[in-house]
Amino acid sequence: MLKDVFSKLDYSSFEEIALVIFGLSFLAIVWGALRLKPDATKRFGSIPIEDAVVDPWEGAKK
Amino acid sequence: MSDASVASSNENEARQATTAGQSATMESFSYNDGIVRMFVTATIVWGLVATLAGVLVALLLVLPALFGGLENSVSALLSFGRLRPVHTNAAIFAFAGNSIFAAIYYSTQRLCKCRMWSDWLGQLHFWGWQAIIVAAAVTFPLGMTQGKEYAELEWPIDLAIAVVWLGFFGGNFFMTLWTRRERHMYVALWFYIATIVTVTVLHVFNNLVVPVGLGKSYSVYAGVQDALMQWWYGHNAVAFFLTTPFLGLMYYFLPKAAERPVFSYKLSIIHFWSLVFLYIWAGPHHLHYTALPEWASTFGMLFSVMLWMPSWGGMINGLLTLRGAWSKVTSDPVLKFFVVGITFYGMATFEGPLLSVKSVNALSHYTDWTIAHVHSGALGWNGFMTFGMIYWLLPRLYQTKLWSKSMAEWHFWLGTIGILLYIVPIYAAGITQGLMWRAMDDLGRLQYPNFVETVQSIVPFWWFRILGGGIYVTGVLMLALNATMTWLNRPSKYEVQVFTAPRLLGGYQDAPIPKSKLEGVPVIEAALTIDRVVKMDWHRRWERLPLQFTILTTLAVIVASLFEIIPTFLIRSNVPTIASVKPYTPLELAGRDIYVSEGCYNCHSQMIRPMIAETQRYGEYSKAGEFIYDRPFQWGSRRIGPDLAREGGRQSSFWHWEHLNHPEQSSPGSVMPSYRHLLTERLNFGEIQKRIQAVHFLGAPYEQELTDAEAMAHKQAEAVAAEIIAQGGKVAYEGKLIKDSTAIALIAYLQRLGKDLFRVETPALAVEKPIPFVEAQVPTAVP
Repeated sequence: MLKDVFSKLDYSSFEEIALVIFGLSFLAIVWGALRLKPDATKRFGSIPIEDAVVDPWEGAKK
Repeated sequence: MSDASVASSNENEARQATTAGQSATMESFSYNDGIVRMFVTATIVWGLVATLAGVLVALLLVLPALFGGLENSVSALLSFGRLRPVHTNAAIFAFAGNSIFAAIYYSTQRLCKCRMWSDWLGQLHFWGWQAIIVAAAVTFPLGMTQGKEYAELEWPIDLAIAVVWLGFFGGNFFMTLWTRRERHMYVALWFYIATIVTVTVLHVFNNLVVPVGLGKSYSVYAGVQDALMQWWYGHNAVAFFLTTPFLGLMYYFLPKAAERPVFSYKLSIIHFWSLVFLYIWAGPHHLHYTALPEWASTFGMLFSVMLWMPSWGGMINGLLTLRGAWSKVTSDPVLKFFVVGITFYGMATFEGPLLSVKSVNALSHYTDWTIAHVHSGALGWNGFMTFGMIYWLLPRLYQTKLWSKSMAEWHFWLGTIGILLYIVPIYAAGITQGLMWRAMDDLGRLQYPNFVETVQSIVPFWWFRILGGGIYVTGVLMLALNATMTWLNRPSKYEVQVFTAPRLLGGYQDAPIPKSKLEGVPVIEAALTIDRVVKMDWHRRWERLPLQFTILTTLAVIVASLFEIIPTFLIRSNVPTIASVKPYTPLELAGRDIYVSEGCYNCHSQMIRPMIAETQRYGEYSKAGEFIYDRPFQWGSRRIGPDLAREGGRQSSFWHWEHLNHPEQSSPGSVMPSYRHLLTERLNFGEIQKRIQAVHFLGAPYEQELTDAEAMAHKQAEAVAAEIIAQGGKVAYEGKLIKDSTAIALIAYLQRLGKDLFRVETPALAVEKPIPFVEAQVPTAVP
């Protein structure tokens, strides 16, 4: 059955479909990234240089 | 990190626990730096081996007779075709591999605020990985190879890799994530997750084989499908073995060394997901203008070009992390290595997409341009990031000052000069050869029809490569000396810091689902749901959930892979069969196995692209249906020698015999080494039956061969030998009948290459009788 499905697909449009999938995923990620609050990103970004354990929960409360 | 800081940092956990009515038990722990020391030492040792092997194979190209004076059995072990995989595998899996393990073991413990889950798994991982590397260094010179670039290791070693990588390393890593004390997973950990998951998937699927012995197997894929799988693997080995773990390394060690947080955490999120999603599609750009279907090739190009965006985003994020700290770069060799390493990452990831554009690829493919590109990435990005990390780690691991900071500075400058002296001439060599291959005169004929002429024109550039490589190796030697002297100055007993902190508690409550502004507004329920969903901090939640994060990463990788792979495997129209293309005869199959074993694909392609310069030089362009019995495919990626796709019938069998013996005599100026050991080695006819059955199991339509393969092989060997004798050859060579030699099988295979496309079924009566191999010609006592 899977073979039948794939044999009916038009490969010439695969590039465009792939672009759309990537575009949607990319927009979702950018949206998610931009929604992060500055204080949270500051503390997350400092994890490797800070000895303290960063608690994102506390950040979310502010 | 002090005891107090960890303890106070987890106050929030303790507070939550109290609120939830649970008790937070404080625990003591220390980091396992012993395993990091072991991996750092292995990195330096294998770095030396890999770079020295590189200089050796570079020498073999300019001095092909370097080992010519040695015994046949010894020189066979040291041919370019067998040693090149030693160099590439040592560089990738031994040097870069141990480097990423050192980085991951050191940083994961600090980022998770806990010791690695199991010291024993760490030991098994270390010694298992070193055993795999040693096995590679032994089996490649012996000619045991799967014949696919960077996936040459035979199946028993592949199985060991799967166990060590996923079982010991992956198991230890994921259990450490599970038992961590820092709830938030830092960006470096995401890159490590992507590395472990994707390399496992790539390794398993590209190495599916049917074994016919401990040192020989046949790929379950053939021809075009094998090519697609191989370069899906090959390109993503670069992506997920040489890029993502090193980006994790960058995101951890660069802020540490610069004592500044990463420039943009938001950019790192976009960098990670874009890279993981895009990289996996890019593999087919290695197969432009080949028999791969056009749509798959265009896929590869499109997504490779898009890779510019995340790659440069990552580079900019790395370099801008040094904002306000550039003054430190002038005095700190660690930061110098990092800055130049990241710059090379930017250069290599600019050049990669450029090379994936079809018109550029038409010129660059099969030339040294690719070699220069690879080495700017490997020596500049992987090498320098590793060196920077090691110089930063040495004083911390050995709890003493670095023995010589000025020697580290010298290493940096020698390394930089060495890379430039290597890559600039090799870029010139690649472009020169590419242009010579396609140059036409006024009458539309090839301007340089003699392939050897194009090779000789770049030999001077190859000498510069040896100089550059030698200087780079000198730098690695300085690192080895500096590390050894630092180790000698270590304290008699390492001080082990003990930290105190509570474990993460179960039942952690995430932020509640936010309220929608649309509540109370007369809209449909779906609008309310969408509004609530987009307001949730999804990524922030994922960053606390290792299992969900791993699943999402795996999905991103697998969806893209299936998009390319399934259609290629399921649709017959993607690989049209050609009625005249038949499976190899038993002797030809044995000859093909020798071709693979000797690593001929390291210098010869078997893929004529549909370009006028190629069809004029080599003949009709290659069709997908011609390779359906090729396990593994042997299209190659570099032409140090000419393409062999239509080699069958171009030269006499005697010419091939002489060419294997004295290449420089039959092709003056050729850089091919002598393969005289093939003239004296006896072919194991008894093995052929088993191999025919394995290939038949995979789909080759054999009949008589299934029972008479050995006898058929003997018969064809006699016919080939008789042909050679009739053309001026001798019955015996060095006291051994030529008909039993491995060279005869190889010649039978070479004489078959590319002929099936033009095969016309001849009526039985018109079949020309082969020249009989007259036993009477053979003296009873062979001289």
